[in-house]
Amino acid sequence: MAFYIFPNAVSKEKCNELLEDSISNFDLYDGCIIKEEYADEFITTTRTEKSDIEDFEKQRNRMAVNTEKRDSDIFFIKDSKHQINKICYELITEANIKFFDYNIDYFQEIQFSRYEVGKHYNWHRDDNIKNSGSDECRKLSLTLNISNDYDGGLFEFFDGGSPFKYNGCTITELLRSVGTAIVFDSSDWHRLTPVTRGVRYSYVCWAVGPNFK
Amino acid sequence: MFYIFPKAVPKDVCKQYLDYCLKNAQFEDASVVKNGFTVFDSNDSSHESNHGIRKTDISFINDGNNLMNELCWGFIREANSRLFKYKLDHFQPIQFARYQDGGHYDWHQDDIMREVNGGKEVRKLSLTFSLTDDSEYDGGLLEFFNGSKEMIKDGKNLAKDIKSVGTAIVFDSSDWHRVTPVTRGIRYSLVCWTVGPNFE
Repeated sequence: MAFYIFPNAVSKEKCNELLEDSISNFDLYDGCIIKEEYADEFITTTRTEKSDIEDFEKQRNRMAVNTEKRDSDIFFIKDSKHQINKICYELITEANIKFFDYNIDYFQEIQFSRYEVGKHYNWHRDDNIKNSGSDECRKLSLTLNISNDYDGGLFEFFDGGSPFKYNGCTITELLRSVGTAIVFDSSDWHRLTPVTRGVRYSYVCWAVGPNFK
Repeated sequence: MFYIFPKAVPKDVCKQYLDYCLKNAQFEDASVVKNGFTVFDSNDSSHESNHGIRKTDISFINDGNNLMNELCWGFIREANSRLFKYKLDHFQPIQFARYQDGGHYDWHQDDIMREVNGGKEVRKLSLTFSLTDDSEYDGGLLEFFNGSKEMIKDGKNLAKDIKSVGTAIVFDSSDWHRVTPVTRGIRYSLVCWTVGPNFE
């Protein structure tokens, strides 16, 4: 269990700009329907070639999506020159140089997540692919919170009952702040509790490297 | 991630092992031991003398014949070559554990956070070997945190497998796990850790 936190790494103004941009460009991103079996470690995602928000909703409703474990809307940012790429990559790189010291080969496409009222993501780890016989795995995960007009939607690590703290604040409290980013081991158990008011938006990014030795 | 050796050692041999361990053990209360292996315990520095987190009697074994070492190290070596493939430098001394009268160990990880350690090495693999027949005690289940669901593989609940006498399980030291309170009888087990250079 290890993490590196960047309190208010991105200014509120920049977060607003990014948020408006991502919301207005939904149709430029790949939609992604999440289909998960609760009893299965593996996440199955069905990606559409290109979808606008309406298509996305239609497909979502067509599929029998098991929402017990996860119910959220995610979109991948295909534009590799988008400014969010640099922001996320730099944060992960800095955390890795200063703290983790892992071999990293590449970053995956950045995910823009939207959690509306009732949406959630139950306990999970990000490194599922490590079980699939691959010689590489997700090693570091980043979450950048860019909104605060919501209730619920708390980002929590499994901590065995003793909350992790940084400067007297719990990680969960710190991550409610707009522009705060956290980089953590992709093998750490974490969840997002259901949003009870408003909408929570965030960016998520993963760094992949050769299996741990 | 874990690798399990279900009932790898027959019941009667486990009984011999248990007798051997009991003869060569000197138990101490794990929650108050300040030297030796427990300084590596992530919970130890902040919870010394705190039975809320852990109530276990533990002992090194005066293992003149290296019997228990060979047993435990063999499982770890095999699991590592088949599944984990980690760089390992050395084993830590085996711990013989006794859980009775509500003895338990709350959720914890066996590796320590590196900002505390500041070192170049980390615990990578942990082993638990069950020495007591599951009919001889109630409770005392070794459980892994698995996102509020039970650990099921091929339709079988692993908690029972893990509890069976003679079963060894090797798991990532970073995995959250606990031992639930023993409500009847005594649970004896062997625990072993392996250390290697920090993960890259």
